[in-house]
Amino acid sequence: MVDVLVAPDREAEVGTLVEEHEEQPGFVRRYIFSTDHKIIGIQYILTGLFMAVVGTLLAVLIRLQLGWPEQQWPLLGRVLPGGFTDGVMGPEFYLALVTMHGTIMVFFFVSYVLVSGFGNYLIPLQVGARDMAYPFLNMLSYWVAFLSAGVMLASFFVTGGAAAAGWTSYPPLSAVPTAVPGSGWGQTLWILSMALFIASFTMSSLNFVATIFCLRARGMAMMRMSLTVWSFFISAILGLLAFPPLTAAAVMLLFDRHFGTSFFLPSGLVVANEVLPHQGGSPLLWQHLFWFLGHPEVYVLILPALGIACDILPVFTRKPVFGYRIQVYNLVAVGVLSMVVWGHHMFVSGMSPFSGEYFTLVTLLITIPMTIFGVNMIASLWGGRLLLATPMLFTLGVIAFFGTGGFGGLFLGNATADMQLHDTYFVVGHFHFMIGGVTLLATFAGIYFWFPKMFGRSMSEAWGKVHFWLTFIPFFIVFFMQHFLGLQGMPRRYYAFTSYEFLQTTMGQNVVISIAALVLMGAQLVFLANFFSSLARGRRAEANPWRATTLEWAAESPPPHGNFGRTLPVVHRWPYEYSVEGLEADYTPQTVSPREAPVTA
Amino acid sequence: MIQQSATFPRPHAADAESALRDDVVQLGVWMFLATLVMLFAAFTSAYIVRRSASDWTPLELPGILWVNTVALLASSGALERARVAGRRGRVSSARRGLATAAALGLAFLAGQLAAWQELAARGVYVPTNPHSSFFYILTATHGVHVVAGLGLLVYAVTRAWNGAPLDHGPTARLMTASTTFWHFLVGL
Amino acid sequence: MREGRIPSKVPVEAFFAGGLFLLTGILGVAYGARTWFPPLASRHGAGIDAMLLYLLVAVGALFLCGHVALGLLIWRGARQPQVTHRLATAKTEWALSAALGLLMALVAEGGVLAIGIPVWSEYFGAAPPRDALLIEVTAQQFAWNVRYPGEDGVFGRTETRLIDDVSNPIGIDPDDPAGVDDVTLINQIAVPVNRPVTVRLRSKDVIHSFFLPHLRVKQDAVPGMTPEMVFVPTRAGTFEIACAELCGLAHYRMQGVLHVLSEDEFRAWLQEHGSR
Repeated sequence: MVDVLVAPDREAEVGTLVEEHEEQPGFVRRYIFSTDHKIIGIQYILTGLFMAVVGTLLAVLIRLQLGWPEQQWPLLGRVLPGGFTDGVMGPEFYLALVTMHGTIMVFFFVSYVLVSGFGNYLIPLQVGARDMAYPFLNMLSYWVAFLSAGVMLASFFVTGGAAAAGWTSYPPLSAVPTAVPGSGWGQTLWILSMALFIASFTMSSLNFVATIFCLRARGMAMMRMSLTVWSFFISAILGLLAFPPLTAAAVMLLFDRHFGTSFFLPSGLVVANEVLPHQGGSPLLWQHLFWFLGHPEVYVLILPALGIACDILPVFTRKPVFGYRIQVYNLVAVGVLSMVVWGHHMFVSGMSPFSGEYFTLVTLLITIPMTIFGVNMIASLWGGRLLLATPMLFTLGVIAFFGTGGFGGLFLGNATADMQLHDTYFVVGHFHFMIGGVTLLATFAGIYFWFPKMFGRSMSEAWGKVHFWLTFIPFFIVFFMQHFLGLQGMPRRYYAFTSYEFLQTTMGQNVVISIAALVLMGAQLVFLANFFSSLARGRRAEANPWRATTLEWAAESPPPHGNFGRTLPVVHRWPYEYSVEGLEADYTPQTVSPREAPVTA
Repeated sequence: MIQQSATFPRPHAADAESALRDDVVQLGVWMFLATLVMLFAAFTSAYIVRRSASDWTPLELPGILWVNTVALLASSGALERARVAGRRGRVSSARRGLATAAALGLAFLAGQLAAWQELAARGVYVPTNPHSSFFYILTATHGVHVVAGLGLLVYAVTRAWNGAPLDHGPTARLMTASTTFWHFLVGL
Repeated sequence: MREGRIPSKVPVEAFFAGGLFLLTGILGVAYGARTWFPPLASRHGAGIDAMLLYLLVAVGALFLCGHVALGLLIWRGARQPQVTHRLATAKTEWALSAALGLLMALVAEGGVLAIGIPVWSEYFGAAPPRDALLIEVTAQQFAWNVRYPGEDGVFGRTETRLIDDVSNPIGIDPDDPAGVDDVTLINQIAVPVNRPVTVRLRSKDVIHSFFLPHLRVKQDAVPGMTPEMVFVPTRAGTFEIACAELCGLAHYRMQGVLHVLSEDEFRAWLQEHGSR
């Protein structure tokens, strides 16, 4: 393993930038087809934010239907004639909404912004490299990602509408075009879009791992890397190993749909009065392959959120994160364990009950590193001097949501309780806290925190705090209440539940949830307004406005191409040198030499 | 604001930087291979489980598949010799080896297509039975990657013929990477 | 650096921030502490409810503690003029983490396993008792086809090509003598109270899931498979059946009814529905 960048006497030459008189490439090569990781990172973030808006609009429609089923919406009926008849939403549209909301939010919002966006932006800066290991591949990864998003959006406009078999796309529902309208061209485009997404994510992950392994600055040992970088590292490795089974499954589903194969389709199927010719396939095979990716995928999404939270905490408590090494081992343990627990999504699927016991056991195991991780985050607050800036508020929210959502996992992760809770709103509440709450708040924390670095300007603190309060409270209401809807037995993906006696009591709760959800979604306008107006007119930011220690703060705001000027930084200490006893300054950047300040780790 | 450069870093810092670059590229290749292993493992495990079902009717596979395997193995050998020759500076030997490897790779693909044609002539298509479905999908997936590998080889051939050095630098890296990838596909 | 006493006044902003988490914890527990489950009507369901209740209490306590800790630490941290230097040593960190891990493993996980495994085994593992009533349920878009084996206790053969959506939805072979006395219904099941019931699930088209919320029963109906499970209804009454796996447009109204009757009533009911 290459631990040191280059021999000391060569360092100055290696780090040299191009002389000023060389010609500047045009706008297109600089900002559109750039190979600079910072531009690519920002491209991912902006694309992801756009897709988030789309995903949020879908959620608005979902909550309107669930809060007020059978209601007429004349305006919507005119804007979206395909989905509404006489102003009333149709079930086929509802199922497409639910499917696409999930798909877009998971893959095109959280993954693009949090993992690809922040990952690409921060990794070279935080490890002290000039760019990613494969800059051209990096650019390619973004444009394939862009194409993937385009294909997914296009699926709304084909005959039959977008895919409607859930983001999990279980066959036979997703494999037989006549089983539900969205299983026509919509599902095919969904599959193609996912194939492109996986290709793009693979390219990204290769870059993450190679850069972290090989391109760290001199003195940047693995145990001096920030938890943010560690989390991206584990995430990327997980991505590389876990996505291929979904690729294989997607290929097989495509073949079942268009070329008459029977990978997932058994014999004797009768759909829309037609006996299908398939023989001997297994719908469970899809579930195994899908969840083999699906479970590690949620950790791919949440680990960077947790890593970022762990790194923002010290800046605003002015003391090191509690248990740095333990956190690293937790991340590794979770990464490894995440690959063997996938069956907890399949407890009532018809797989062998013995498997159910096995998956319960390992799922219980995975709660241990995650709990220790969460407690360490809380412990990081002990004894600190708290500064309640916006990034810190969101980070505290991350801790709260992580705990709350994580507890729900205990219910779902054991086969017995899951019998009652599988496919109910308990699951919806749980995963929204984890990959919708923890990741969302961490994304916001990261944006408010690194905005000055990325754009050289600061966002408004006041509006940021308003955004926090208007996000945390309604979010908690919506998804906390959904756990209890699940306990009452309310199933998922129901267009309406008005005909069920045992669900009558949930009507009022759904109204409350819908109202809170609308407030939550409306509040994001505050964020968008702040973001874009700060881009244009925000106060100019210095290089290190938060007085943080990690390497990106040693570069200008925003960093130039090549990141660090003529010479690469040399690292002498870990990233948590805050409030060291006996020193005047309450922080010591990683680049400060041992002669000037003692090294604690 | 942000300045972009065309050449970066400067060529005369070549040696150490080049060695690092060698490692970085090889690491990428190995990681990509790990991903591919998972992909083929997914298909293979599905195949193995399916094979144990009661309605499995095994196909009689065309004999030309053995010939194709030998061709690919020979191609792999030629490529390895070419890579070693390149590293030792024996340029014409390396070029010949590269061309041979590419030609044999092409022969492999042609042979695979011939196998498919033979099956089709027998009335065995993708949906005919589970074994045929898996056979076509596995060979197609493998074939797609062979085409990609072949593309890399052809690119290496053109660079080698245009005089690029083969003992260090981008073309050498390309050859090493292609070789690793190629051996993997052969093994598969 | 000598530490002074931490002043007692919390800055306004921190007061609200800490208060937010404190209130979240308290209100969350207050909201959650009520009866949520549909009234229980099966034997194994008691075990599931016990598990759910155990988790609600345990998790509720942890939820409250965690949020209170968060709130109090925010209040404390915002009052401190400087960082406390009694920083934990690495050994302390490891010890605390290990202790916590062990505690979790024993209490939370141990409890889950202790309560959960017997229920799971009963539901799936045990061989169906001899007096169990066997019922076949074939799910389709969008109805539950119910079949009783009749007096001979044997189900007639079914074949896909015989399926006619109106007259023969599950394709019973008319030439099979075992099928002559089969009783078929749509969206209705009746069972006697306190007797085990074995349900054999099938599906004609896509994956559905047979869900009896009051009886804590849920099992996916997967085409190509015939999963079975056993339950014992313990309370007479009428209970709803819902579908718990997305199966298409009318997934939300794949509604059925389960009647739990006395033995006499059940026999009468079966008689009535058997004479076609």
